[in-house]
Amino acid sequence: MEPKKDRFWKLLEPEYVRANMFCRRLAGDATQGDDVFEDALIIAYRKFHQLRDEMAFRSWLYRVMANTYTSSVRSSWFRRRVDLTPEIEQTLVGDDPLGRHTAGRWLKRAMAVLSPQQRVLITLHELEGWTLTELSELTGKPESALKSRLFRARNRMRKAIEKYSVCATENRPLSDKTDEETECSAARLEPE
Amino acid sequence: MQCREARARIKQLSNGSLDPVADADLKRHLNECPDCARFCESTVLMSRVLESVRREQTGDMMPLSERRRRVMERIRTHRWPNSQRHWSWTGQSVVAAVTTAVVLLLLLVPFNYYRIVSYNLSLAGVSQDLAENESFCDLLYNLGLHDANVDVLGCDSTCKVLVLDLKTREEAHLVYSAIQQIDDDDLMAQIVPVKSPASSSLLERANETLRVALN
Repeated sequence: MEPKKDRFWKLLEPEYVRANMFCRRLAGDATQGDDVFEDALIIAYRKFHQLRDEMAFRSWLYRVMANTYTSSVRSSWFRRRVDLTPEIEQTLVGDDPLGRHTAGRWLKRAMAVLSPQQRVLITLHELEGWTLTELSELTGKPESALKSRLFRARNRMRKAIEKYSVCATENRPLSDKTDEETECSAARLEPE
Repeated sequence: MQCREARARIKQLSNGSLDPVADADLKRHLNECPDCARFCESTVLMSRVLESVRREQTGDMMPLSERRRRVMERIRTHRWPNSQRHWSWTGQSVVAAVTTAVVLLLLLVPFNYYRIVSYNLSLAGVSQDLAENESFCDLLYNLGLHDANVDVLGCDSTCKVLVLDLKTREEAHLVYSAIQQIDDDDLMAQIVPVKSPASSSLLERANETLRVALN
C-alpha cells in the first residue's frame, strides 16, 4: 500500500496550482502568498494523519491555508494593515483599474478594508469560484450567514473602490487611511 | 423606478444578466439620480476589477517537486513552534493549577495557624529525683507557670523531660535556670517553638475552616 505521506503529495498534485494561486490572491502578493502556501503545506503534511476522509482533502487543505493566513495576519498586529509605500501609491493614482498589472493593486487596496476572514470568503467566492455550499462545507457556517457576510464584504470593497476611483479621477494622492472618513472620499461618499 | 429597484438591477448588470428593456429604464433612472449613478459606477468597476484579477495568469510558480523538496527540508531542519507552544501551554497550565491550589489552601487555612502559639522546653540530664516526683510540677507552680505541663519522655541514668505550653521564651529560660540551680549535672535544654495546635493536621484545620465558612 502507498505510504500515507506519499499519498499527501498525490492528492495535492491536482490542486497544487489553484491552491498556490489562492494563497497569492489572498495575500495580495506573490512572495507573501508563496510563504503562506509553504507554511500551510508544512502544517497540512504534519497533520495529514488526522484527515479521515480523503474525499474531503480539498476543503481540508483550503481550511488549513485559510487558517494559516488568518493566524499569520493575526500574529503580528502591526501587519494588519496593508502598507503601500508612497511610490506605489503614486503609481496607483491615475492608473487604469483594468490595466494588466493594476487590477491586482486595486483589488489589494480594496481588500485591505476587509477582515482576514472576509478576505478568505471573497477570494474563494469571487476569485476562485467556490459556491456557497462549498464555502459552507469549508467554514461550517450556514449558507445564509455566509451570504450576508459576503454582502457586507462586497459593500465595503465597493465603497473602497469608489473612493479610489474618485481620488484617481481627481489625480489626488490616496490617504494612508483606508476607512470611509478620509478627506478624499468624505465629500463623495454617503452612508447607506 | 425606485432607487432600491435600480440598485438590484445594477447588480444584475454587473453580473451581465440584465435584459435590454430593463437596461433602458435603468439608464433613464441613472441620468436622474446621481447617487445611483455613483453606486452603478463603483459596482461595475469592482466587478470588472474582480474579473480582471480572475483572468490573471498564474505567473512563475515553483514546480511541485521543488516545493516538495523544500517542504521536506524545512520539516527535517525546523524545530516546531506548534509543539513548543503545546509544551509551553502545558507548562503554563500546570503552573496555573499549582498556584490556584496554593492560593486556595492559604485562603482556607486561618492566619493564626502559622503563629507561634506556645513553646516547648526539652530538657536532658534531669535527675530522676526531680523528674519522677511531683517536685517538678511544684517548681513550675512556684514559678507562676500555672498552665505549663510536664511530660517525662524516658529515664536512664538521667531523664529526658519535656515542659509543654510555655507562653514565652522568657518562661522557658526561667524554667531552665531554675532547674540548673537545683540540678546542674550535664543539663541540656532546647526551646522548640510550637506553630500550630499539635492535635490537628493541616487538612483537618482546612476542613474545619471550610465547614465553618459553609455553615
